[in-house]
Amino acid sequence: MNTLVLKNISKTYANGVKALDGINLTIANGMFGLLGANGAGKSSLMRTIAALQKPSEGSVIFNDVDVVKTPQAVRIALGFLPQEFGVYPKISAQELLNYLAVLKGINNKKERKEQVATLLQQTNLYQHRKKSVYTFSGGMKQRFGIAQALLGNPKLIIVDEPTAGLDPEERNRFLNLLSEIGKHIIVILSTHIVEDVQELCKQMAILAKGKIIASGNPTALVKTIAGKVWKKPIPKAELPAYQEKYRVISTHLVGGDTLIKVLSDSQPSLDFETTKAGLEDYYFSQMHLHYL
Amino acid sequence: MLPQLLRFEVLYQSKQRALPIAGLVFFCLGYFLGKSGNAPALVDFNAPFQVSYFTGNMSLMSVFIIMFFAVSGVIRDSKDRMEALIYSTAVKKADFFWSRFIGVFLFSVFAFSLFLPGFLMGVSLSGLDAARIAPFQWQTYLWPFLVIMVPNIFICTSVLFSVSLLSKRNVATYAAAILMYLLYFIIGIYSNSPMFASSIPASAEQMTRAALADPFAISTFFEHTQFWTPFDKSNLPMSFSGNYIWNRLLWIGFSFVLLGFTYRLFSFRKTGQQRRQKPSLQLAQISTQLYRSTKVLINRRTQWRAFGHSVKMDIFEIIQSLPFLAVLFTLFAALAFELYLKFFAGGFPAESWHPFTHLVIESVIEIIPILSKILIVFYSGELIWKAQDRKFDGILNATPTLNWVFFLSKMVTLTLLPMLLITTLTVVCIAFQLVNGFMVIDLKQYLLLFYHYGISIVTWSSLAIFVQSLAKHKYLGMGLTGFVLLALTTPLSYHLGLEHPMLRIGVMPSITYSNMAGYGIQVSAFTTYACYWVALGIILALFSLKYWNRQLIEARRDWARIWEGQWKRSELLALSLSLMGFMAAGIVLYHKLSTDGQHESRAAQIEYREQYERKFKQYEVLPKLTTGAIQTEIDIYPEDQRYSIAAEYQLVNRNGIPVQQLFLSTTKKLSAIRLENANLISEDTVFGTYLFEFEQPIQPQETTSLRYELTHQSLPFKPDHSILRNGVYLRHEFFEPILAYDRSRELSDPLVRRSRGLPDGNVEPQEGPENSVVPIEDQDISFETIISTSANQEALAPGDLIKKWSKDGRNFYRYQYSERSIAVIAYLSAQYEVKKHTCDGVELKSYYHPEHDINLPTIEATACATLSYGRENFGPYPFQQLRVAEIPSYFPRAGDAQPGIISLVEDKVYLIDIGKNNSFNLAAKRTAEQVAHQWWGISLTPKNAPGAGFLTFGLAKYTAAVVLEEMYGQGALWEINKTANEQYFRGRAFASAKEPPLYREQGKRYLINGKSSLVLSSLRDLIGEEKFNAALRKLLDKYAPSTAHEVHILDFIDELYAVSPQEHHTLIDDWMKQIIRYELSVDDIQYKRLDNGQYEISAAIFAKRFKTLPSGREIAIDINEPIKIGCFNKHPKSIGKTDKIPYLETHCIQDTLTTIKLTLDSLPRYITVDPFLTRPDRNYANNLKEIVQ
Repeated sequence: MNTLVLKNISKTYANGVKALDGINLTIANGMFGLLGANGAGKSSLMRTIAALQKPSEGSVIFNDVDVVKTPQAVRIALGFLPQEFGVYPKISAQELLNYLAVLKGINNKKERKEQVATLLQQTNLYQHRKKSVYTFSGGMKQRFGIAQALLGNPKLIIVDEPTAGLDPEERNRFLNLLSEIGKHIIVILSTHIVEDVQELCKQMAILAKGKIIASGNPTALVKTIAGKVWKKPIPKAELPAYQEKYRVISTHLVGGDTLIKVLSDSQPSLDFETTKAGLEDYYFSQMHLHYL
Repeated sequence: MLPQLLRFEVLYQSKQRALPIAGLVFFCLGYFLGKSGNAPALVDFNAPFQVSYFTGNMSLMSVFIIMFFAVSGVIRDSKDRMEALIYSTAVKKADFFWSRFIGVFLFSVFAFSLFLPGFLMGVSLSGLDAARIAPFQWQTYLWPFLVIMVPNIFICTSVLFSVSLLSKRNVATYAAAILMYLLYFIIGIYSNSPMFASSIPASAEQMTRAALADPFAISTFFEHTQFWTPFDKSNLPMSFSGNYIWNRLLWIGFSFVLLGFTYRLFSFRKTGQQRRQKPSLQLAQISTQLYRSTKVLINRRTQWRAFGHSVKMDIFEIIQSLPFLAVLFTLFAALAFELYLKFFAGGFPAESWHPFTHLVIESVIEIIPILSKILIVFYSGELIWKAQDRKFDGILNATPTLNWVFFLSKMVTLTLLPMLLITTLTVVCIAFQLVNGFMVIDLKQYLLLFYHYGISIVTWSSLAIFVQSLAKHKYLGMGLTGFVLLALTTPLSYHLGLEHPMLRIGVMPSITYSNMAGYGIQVSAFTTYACYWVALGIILALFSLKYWNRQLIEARRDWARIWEGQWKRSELLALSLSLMGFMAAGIVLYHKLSTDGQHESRAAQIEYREQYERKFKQYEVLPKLTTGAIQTEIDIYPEDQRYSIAAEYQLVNRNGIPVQQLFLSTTKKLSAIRLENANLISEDTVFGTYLFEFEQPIQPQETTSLRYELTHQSLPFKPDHSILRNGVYLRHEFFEPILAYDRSRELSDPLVRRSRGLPDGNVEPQEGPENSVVPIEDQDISFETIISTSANQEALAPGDLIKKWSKDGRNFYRYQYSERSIAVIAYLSAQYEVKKHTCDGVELKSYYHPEHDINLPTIEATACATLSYGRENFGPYPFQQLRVAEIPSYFPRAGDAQPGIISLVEDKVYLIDIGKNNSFNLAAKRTAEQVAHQWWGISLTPKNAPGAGFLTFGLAKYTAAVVLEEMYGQGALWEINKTANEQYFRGRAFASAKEPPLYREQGKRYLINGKSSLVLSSLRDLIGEEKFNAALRKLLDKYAPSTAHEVHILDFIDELYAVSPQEHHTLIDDWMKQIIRYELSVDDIQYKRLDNGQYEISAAIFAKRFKTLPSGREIAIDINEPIKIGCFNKHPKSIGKTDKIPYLETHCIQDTLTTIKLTLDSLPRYITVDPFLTRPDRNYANNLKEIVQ
């Protein structure tokens, strides 16, 4: 069993921006979803866990070793997919994976070759293996990023916005792969797409303005608002009035009408229908709470 | 639309900081160049020649400005992701294309043109010698602006604009800029631009080709002005004519064609991204395999494996990148040119070598440091910032690979790139040797290149990486590294006063190699330098490593972090060890350099010379004693590079007055000195001077004796190439005290003298003793020596060998002059192979290095032929033996001569490829000249006065010419005079003083080696060889028996008058006492076949003469003299002994245009005027015209 404990992590950048503010989390084997809007501090947190940057305060303990002091402790067990990455031109996908496999410590040449081939197949890149990653389309490049994160024997996988740029089928395959791996190790999935977390994660946290505003099991979290979410289609012009009157947590366009969802312990008015609460509703409700 | 677009371009570009910065840089460059007073002697600082010269060279720098504007003007759309927006507007392709092009072009012109006002201002405010500043003239600045600056920028802009527009990549644009620069570089080497001093002068055809091929027209400038005398350089305006027109037309035409192509190829609506679009994704195939992890293990070996793979991947990527390929291409081009020139074409003077390993290396190696620096500057930035630039750092830094692995791999990669160049060079050179059938390949010399040049490379790489980590910005880092390397490792450092070897980072002592003597530098000195620089490299690398912590990326600003960053014990150990090594090597180096005194700053040298003059000038008026006899005992220890000498001089007072005091200046420290009947009054150990006072004044004709002893050793940091392990060549001037005030130590530069408050004085630039052509003594002396050397070597000295013996494991020899002769003495010692011959009763002995026997038959045959010719035509040879000895390549000339012995230099005689040319042989020419000195210089020693060089060297060259003509035919004369012609015209163009007439030559090489050869050939033709030789013989008969050196060049001219009719005396005066050049050519050939089968041929002979007035101005004068006209079936240069010449007669040419009519039995191939180039004529090629059948 692997454990990752974040104790009171704060990060202030040189330009004064406070990206992380007293984060405490404990993460064990399984998929862990980190949900947050753009700019909430997800990437800062991921980079801190991956020992790519030091926190200003606090400590990251991975399997009882302080990563801030000994970054090597996490690096030897890490698979990391950054949110944005580039590659070297003129190097084929296979060669680049092989190189990274060497860096990650797969010392046996045959094993290296086998794992690279397997991963290329699993990410459906095998027929493109001789091409330079530089020429890959966005989706292919993203799959390559996933393949490299799985190299070796990772005990902690951090994937930052992994499904961006993937088509629905690719996304499915990828998430299946992750959940399969996530049975035995820690997989941290950072995303702003609620469905990803909903489908896969046993545990999750919501990050906003550098703080954890909620954490726990998604189903349990959703339960806290069960029966309290109401919906109603309204003309668009009336939206400000509703926002004034109710806790509107989300608005959707459905067939040209605006469908609003409102959080309320009881039916706000007769024309509101009850609706089944989902994780998205929970997320929006928390964000709504936090940002008001 | 175009005007609006242009207005936007102006707005955009003018907001770039680059524009004011570039403008300011060029203005300052102009200002400082103008102020620096950088002009050849006698040339006005702001002459049109100077302004054009600087403008041309500066346009090389403009490439980088243009590159910048091209990148910001063209690539900005794709870089700033504006492409889609721009291209979806209604803008027309033509408007877009031309507005961008004109924008880049105009801004580059603007920035660069500020150079000219800068220069103007610099000159005006300089405070330089006002006599050398010409009044302001518009044309001086307008001409280079219109002919050089604007076209050059147009051409460069077209190329760089096209590349960036089509490739849309910065790197491709940089590569194109580098390639343009390298293109010039190759042409520069090829055309022997003075910027590449090492190369050998090029032929006229090469110059023409380079003048056309050079996109910057710098070679055109050199071709245009190659024969300009200092007077011309000051006074002639530049003219847009000849190859200037063709070059500009060619390149501007090329630019338009290129722009046209680019315009067509450039597809406006397509963005660069589209090419990368791959076919749509295949439907996902569900992989059946399940994910399985693979065992990992991180240990030391993993890290080293990661290191290996990192290096491999970086190298693999770099060797495919454009800039590297451009550098590699340059290397190949330079190798091809240099090898071709030095081993086949035989540049100047027709000197080609056999491909001995050291000669092959020497001819090409100089390009390695230059290319290495380019690679290091460029790829240090690329490598260090690679991961960040490509946004791959997130993935790389999350791997368990340690910091030092990444760092070391970059470091090693950067070092390996130049090593790849050395490897390439080695492979090419070995292949070249093998292809030429040369199997004796010295692999050790090739392998040592990696050490000899690797030290600099490692140091520069560390420096570059250190600067990169300090600068925190790729281009800033590259610029800084480039600047540091430019300021400290190129000749620029001397101008900046950063000349101390310990400051010149990574610069190692230059490596010389001689087959006889081995490496010119001692291992201990080289190793000390190596330790010093490598230790510094390690220190810089360690600091860079500390700074390069991937976790501290966002805190890079904090330099102090290095100290907080934990230094591991091993790193601290390495740091302290290398600090200690650096300090230790530094102390040794500093100590050795200041005590052995190899390094003396310019300022210190000037100070020394000034003080010498101030302190001792008072003794210049003392009457001098002359040497009557020299007796020496010299022990040479070649293995220690050491010698001891004890010498006794008999001194005679040949003045009319008694001598009271004697002043001596020494260059080597004496261990003892004693002057008979005299007391030492003062001694100055700093300047090595002694002042003696005689107890009794030495009366006229009385003698006294001087005895001195000294021991000298070649020191590691002050290598003395006269005393080598094998191949000692020790001339007396190297150690002998001067028995007077030494005027050659005075400062000669009038500007420096003035700044030091020294009187202007009539100080002529002095040549050092090594180059002085006439002995200082004005009397012959008697000479005797006992010389010893180690058992495996043979020692030689002038005179006849009297006795030879061995004692205590050493060889002893006694040499003695059989009669009084000149006081030019040298000692030789080496492991010689010896061959004996007899040549008309004179014993001819060859002493040579065992492997160097290729040209031996030529050398022996020539020596013998010259001896015979001299004895028959000039007078007896006064010794029983003539010894011909090989000496190492450190001697600056091709050979040297003393009584009874001549020395020939290995790479200038023994190793040259005399080739398949049957009508000329350079080894023979050089041998004959030295043998001829036995008469000219040794038997007949001229008075130490202007004209002495003519009598010594001129007559030796004359003798060599007639001997070679006898041996090989008249073609030899053509070769000799062609070389002399080129030497004369080139020499006078770069002269540092006004050209004197030949009889007043003051040791000027271009006169004694160049013009005297031509004049003597002309005189021989005018007077006839027999009569001419009789005149020489008379001179010898009259003056050789006397021990005093009394013959003057006017005596020679008198003898010429005596053997020639009165009407030729004016012509003799014209040649000897005036400065006159000719323009001879043949044109307009017509022929018809006569009924009797003969041919009637007519041709126009053009003949002009130009006289240089004392002011330097040249005027046309009349012609009236006999000149040979000939018809040939082959080129005059290949006329051998057995070749028949259809027609060769002397015609009296009296007009500018003379039409001649000849009737010959068959139709010849060529008609020539002055076929063997006896007249000084810049364009000798048009003396000859081929008859078109």
